[in-house]
Amino acid sequence: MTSRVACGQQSQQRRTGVRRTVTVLAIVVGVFYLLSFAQILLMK
Amino acid sequence: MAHEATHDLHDDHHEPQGFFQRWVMSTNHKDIGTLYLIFSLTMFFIGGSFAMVIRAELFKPGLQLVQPYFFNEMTTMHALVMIFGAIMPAFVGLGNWMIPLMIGAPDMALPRMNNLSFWILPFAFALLLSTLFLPGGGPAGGWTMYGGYIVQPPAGPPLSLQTGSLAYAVFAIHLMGISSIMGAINIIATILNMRAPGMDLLKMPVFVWSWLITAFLLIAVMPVLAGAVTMLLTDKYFGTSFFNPHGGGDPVLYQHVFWFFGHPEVYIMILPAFGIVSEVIPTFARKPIFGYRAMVYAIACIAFLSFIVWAHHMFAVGLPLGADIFFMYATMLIAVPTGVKVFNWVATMWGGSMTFETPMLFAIAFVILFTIGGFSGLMLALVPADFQYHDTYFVVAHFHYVLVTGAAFAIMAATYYWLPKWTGHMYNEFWGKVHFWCSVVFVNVLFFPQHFLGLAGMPRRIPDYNVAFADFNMMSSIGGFLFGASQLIFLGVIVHCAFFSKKKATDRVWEGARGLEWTLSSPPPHHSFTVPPVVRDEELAHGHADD
Ligand code: HEM
Ligand SMILES: [Cu+2]
Repeated sequence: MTSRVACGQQSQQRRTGVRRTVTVLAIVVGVFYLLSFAQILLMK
Repeated sequence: MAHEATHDLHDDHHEPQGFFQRWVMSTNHKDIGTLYLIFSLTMFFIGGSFAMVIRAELFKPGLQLVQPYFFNEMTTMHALVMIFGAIMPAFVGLGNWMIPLMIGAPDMALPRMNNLSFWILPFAFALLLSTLFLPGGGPAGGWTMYGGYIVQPPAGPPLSLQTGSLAYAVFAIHLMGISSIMGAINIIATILNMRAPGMDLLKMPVFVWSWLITAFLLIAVMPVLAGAVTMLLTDKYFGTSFFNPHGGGDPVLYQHVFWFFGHPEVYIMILPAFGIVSEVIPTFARKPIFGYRAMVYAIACIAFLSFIVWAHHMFAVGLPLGADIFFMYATMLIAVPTGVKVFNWVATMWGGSMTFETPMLFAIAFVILFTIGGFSGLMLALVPADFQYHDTYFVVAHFHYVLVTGAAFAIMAATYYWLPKWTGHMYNEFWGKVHFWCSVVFVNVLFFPQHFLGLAGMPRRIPDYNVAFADFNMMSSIGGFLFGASQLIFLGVIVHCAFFSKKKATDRVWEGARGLEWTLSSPPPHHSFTVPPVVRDEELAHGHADD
């Protein structure tokens, strides 16, 4: 592990963590955008 | 599976080749941080030049230099450029540079997205600024873009000259929003996943905490802004009537949606500043931060409250009494966690062995002058008082104390604080101090009289005024020109430090500096912490929750 980190690598654990965080956040942002734009369609 | 990524990161390993590769294709957090900071400084001067036009026109009563419509373009553009171009990118640049160094990460979690976040910005601002050259002029309805001014044709240019400036501005705002959201996702992913072993959340420097919370604010409110301006767009060009009373729409709805974004936005511009000051003061007081945990909770508390105070910008529209009272008390509540922070900064200095290098001077000025802005905010939070103060220069004075002597002074403190780390050379302390003293004196000459103007009833966003306001306006303009000129010293000090300074910086730079970033060389290697550092408690930045 350490040696992979040493050559500029993120460890596998970090990689999955990042992927999970980004997925959650992307969904949150997506929902927020959808809500913001859904009201545009719904209201008029 | 991890093959592509492996390959890429491997390329990264070498020093970047050539100017284009290094700066345009960069995936390195330090280089991208530098790009953000240069961009921000550029926008600071562009936005500043608009402010000079405003203060020149207001130097004396009567119309002398510019047409009223152009004046309104200047107030609008000044705000948009300073908020979205200068303050926010400066914090993102500082975050890019410092967060990985402070938590012992090799880089940001998503380096390529980082590149994209930055490179969207020059295009967004090119688009926004280009509207000034359109035949009908740029947006002139204020940075708040209230529907009433935007949707209905302004009295300024004749209808035939009405251009698509709103469409340009809206598209630019969408781009900035996307850039901010990607930046925020990147920062959260980095802080949650890339910390070196042993760097627990409650051991992180306060600056990192402040950015983590700010990033959540950004994610929550940028989509709301996008929705609001899109509705403006469809109202103006596609015949909808969200905000247009002619079709049964409600202009006040726009204000609600805008300020639901707008108030958290002002905290987006101050929380990272709180973080910076919480780094600088312990260093120069040579004491750990007082009440680390309270500092972190206070930031989180302010962030939460910032979502339930938006209508304090709308007291004058005639809200129901219950709403007035709710928003008044909720707003005044923010003073509690803010007060906690101010007292903790003072307590950090108390009994410390302080020295007053330029970063510390800016940080101390921040504490005092930001607090003045907080007090005028409290005055504005009182509904009956706000009926008088709303849309006067009192509001202008308030938000310039929190944004210039608050956010901008913190950015200057951060610049002086970390410049030796970034460049490997010391800046010129004498000229740094000259910059500080000029700035702190002139900024007060510029903005303090505006309190009096506002209390006496001078409206904001007007190119001409009653002669009764002449003296304070002239004073304010003189302060403005001198404050503007003082910033050239800032530019000079930075350029000198980056390219000409002979004085090498040590790794630690400041005697009292603590934190992982100071364990690296000055300047740090292009790739730092490729091996996660061992985090020792005495090296943690000025305190943590176990103290
Ligand atoms: C103790 C904390 C604060 C309180 C109680 C407060 C209160 C207020 C109120 C009531 C207004 C509306 C005034 C009006 O339009 O009649 C206002 C405006 C404003 N505040 Fe604050 N504020 C506080 C802190 C801040 C901070 C930290 C920032 C930014 C860093 C900020 C930025 C602004 C801006 C930009 C406006 C004017 C928006 C506009 O109309 O263009 N405020 N504040
Ligand atoms: Cu507000």
